Amino acid sequence: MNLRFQATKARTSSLVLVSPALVLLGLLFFYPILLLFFTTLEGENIGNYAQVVNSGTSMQVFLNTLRIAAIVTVVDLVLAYPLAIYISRLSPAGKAIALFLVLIPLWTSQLVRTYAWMVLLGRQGPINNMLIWLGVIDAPIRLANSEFAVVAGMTHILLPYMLLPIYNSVSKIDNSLFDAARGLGAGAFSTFTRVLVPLSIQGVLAGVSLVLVLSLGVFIMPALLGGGRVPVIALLIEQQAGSFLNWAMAGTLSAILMVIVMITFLIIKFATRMFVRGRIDVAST
Amino acid sequence: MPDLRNTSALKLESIRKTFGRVDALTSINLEVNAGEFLTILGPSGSGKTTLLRLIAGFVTPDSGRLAIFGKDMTMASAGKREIGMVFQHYALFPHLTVLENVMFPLEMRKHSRRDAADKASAALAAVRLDAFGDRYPKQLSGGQQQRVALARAVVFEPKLLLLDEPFSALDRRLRESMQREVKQLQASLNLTTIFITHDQEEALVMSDRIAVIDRGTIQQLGTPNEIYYHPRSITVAQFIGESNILEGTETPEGLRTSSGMLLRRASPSTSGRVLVRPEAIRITREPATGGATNQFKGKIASRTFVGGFTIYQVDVYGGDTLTVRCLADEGSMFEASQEVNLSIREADCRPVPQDAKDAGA
Repeated sequence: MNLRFQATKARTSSLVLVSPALVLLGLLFFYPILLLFFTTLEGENIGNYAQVVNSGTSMQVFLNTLRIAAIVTVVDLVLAYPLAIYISRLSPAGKAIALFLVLIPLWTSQLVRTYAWMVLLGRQGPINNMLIWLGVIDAPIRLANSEFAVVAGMTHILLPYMLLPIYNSVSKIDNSLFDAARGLGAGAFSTFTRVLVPLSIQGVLAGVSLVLVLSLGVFIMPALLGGGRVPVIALLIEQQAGSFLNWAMAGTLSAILMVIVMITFLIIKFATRMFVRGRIDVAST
Repeated sequence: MPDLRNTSALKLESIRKTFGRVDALTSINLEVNAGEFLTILGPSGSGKTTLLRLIAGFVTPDSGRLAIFGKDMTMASAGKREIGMVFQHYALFPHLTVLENVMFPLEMRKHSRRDAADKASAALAAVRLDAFGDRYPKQLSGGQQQRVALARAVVFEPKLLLLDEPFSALDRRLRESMQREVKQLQASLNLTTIFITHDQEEALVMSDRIAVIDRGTIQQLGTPNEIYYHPRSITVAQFIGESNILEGTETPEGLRTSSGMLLRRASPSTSGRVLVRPEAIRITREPATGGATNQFKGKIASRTFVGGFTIYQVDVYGGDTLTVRCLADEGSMFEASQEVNLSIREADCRPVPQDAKDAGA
């Protein structure tokens, strides 16, 4: 048996192994997307797309969605990076407990957590009560039904998606590298920018892409915590499909959102390539 | 503080460090002379790693003082101490090229990029790696990575060089050539070097002086010769080289071991313990002729052939089992249970003092 034959055989048998998954994905995922895409073209050709692009409101909503996603991503990054570093320095037992605490929210329904935020941010909620008790404010202020509430909720729900990839790459860094940097004269800032960031950039970019992509499509948070004041694209899609029964327009908006997500993803993927070029070279030699 | 103003490169005074309830270092006093190659030798758990991290500035002592060239550095951060360090697993930055790794300490000291590159190239040339500047650490062999780490540690002209078991990951042949190379570089730069190891042979080969550390204190400080031939405690004697420790009671003629052997020795032992190095025992077929040496008859219990030499375990009739080491000679090897004669010169029976801190064990 020659090698090429063996390789071909191996490839065929692995194709056989993945085929059930491929069929499942194709039927339940790609086919509906294709159907959706054809719906958007029905009768109007590309008219629906032109309508979206020409509509100031729709473009505004898209921009708003991108803006909120960017804020949530940045806040999560700022929160998760130090936390990931902190957890990576804990004892094995401490790490296990900390990661467990991080994962608990992921096992809780998003709806439950959203309602928890509504309670927290309510007029009679603990945050308002606390602020009044501290004397910061005299009367309850509106916390819920605002962009602040939406951003806070999304930041909370998406934090694990930022934290876990960053923690994963930070914890793989050999601790003696930090000693070496300090001993060679690097201060805390240089150690961070010259050693920690370059060695964890893959995890950071993975976290950023996950949170960014997920926050572009979030529906429950803006719907329940935004109180109609925070227009995002997911709400617009729901409105078109649910209230106006305009499936073509809902499909068009979804398709545009999907393209935005894919472009975002590609940009980050490209950035990852750029940043870790050196180590990819190493791996390939 | 006039006592800090002297020429010693490193001075440790009553250094103490505790982790939780564990005494890592009880009271360390040590002075390292400028240009000296000093080895801190100890088994794992002896406190040598804590001592190294304390000198490097990664931990601070609970009490005591540390001065580098007369300047109090007890609380100074690692970067302020101007110490070049080679880590056990080299700790090269994987995302930087070899040249960038060596440039790192210079860039941290605000050298211009051009100047840093020039100096780093020169340092790499000194370890014969100037052709490898563009590679990444993972593309180099263990020995090459080690040399990069060495170049990075000396490129900024540090006041001290710290070596943390740098050869432990290398195979035997490479280790020996690296030991020579480090020694040469250290001598040519006249760089005060502190070398941490658990390998007593390595310590004997490389050092001007050795500090044997165990249970958080320095058990003995001396030249390799002193440490080997005049160990000041049983711990040191057993840790350095192989040893026969014979115990008994002092009599006017010599030491009478509990097993009944009489050992004549040059000077009496206060502790009732005598050290005999395995290579100091002569092993012969016929009784050795000659005057005042100790002579014993015994039977070979086992033989280990190690190439250059042979190690015998010999059961002395009415006595202890002694380890004997002699140069291998294919023509005259002894077989198991063969009867042999052992002779030991008086001068090779060395009294060993009681361990100073036996109670602390």
